[in-house]
Amino acid sequence: MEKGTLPPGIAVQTRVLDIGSRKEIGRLKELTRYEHEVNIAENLGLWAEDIFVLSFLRNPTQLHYESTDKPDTWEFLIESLEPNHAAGQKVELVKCEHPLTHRDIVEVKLLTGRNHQLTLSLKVEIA
Amino acid sequence: MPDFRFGQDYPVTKTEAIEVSNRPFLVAEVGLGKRTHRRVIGEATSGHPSLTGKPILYVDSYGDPEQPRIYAYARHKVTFTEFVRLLDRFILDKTPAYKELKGREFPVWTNGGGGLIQSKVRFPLTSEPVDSKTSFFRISIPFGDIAIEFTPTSPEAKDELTSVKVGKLPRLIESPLFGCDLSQTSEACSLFAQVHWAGPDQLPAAIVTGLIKQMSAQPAIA
Repeated sequence: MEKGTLPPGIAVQTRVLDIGSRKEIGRLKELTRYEHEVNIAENLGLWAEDIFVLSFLRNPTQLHYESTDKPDTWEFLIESLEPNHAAGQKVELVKCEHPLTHRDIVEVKLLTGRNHQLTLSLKVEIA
Repeated sequence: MPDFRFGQDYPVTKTEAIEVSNRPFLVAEVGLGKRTHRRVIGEATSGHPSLTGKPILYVDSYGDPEQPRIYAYARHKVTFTEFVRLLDRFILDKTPAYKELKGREFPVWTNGGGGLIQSKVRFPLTSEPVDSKTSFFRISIPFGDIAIEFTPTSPEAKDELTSVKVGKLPRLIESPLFGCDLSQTSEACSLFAQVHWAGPDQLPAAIVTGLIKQMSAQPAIA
């Protein structure tokens, strides 16, 4: 689900991937690690964009980032994403623990230096 | 400006006073790694009170030694329908001198709300129905790429002369933007002048084109 907008010359996608096959996964298994990917495609605008990406996990006791400062938060800054360049695929390890609710939401908020704001909510199931 | 760790301002590294047709403007420069950002700011005597302290032109240079790039961009004032009409006119005016434009297809990227789509177009574009939901349009033509976005107009920039006096340049730039690739040629500057937020009443076309030519010919101040 999407709420808000990015500059219309930029496309973004977020997925949870199986580490080995790199296939998108919607149903996670307990005690298993996955990759959370944020892919910011080529900036087709002829101006640079600053993009701050903040990803948030609502229930870190069942789904958490493994190597970030806070288990529920992954954040990074793309400064001066220049025309015709992509920020590429950024990934962070996420671990699924024992399920509590069997459902979770990975929320990715993107904020730009021109006041655009987009929130992507990725629903996952936990088996 | 949201609080997301960008900081509100860039530190200005250089400033320079320039003139086009006896109208003064201030250029503030910021070094951002391989990107050099220059901003042309209106002075009190630039010709119209509404220009004072306002960003007239943004110019970014990328110092890739193999392929140096230079882009100019500014806030624009046109709708997509108006832009298509102006682009048709621009190409029509150039066709006698550039016969290769006639009948050719040009790659475009558009965003009509469902994501970015690549396709090809022929001129005149107005011969086809215009999608009024278009929020982004970019075309590759022999003069260099041109891109324009159609998004809500941002609040006008505050007085940037005051910021530059204390060594700061606001990070926030205005929207919506029109931009062109000036790496090979500045031919697109006449189109730029027609879509520019201040043109032609506050900023005559000759001043906009003069500024673009001066900024594209001149390397970054450093």
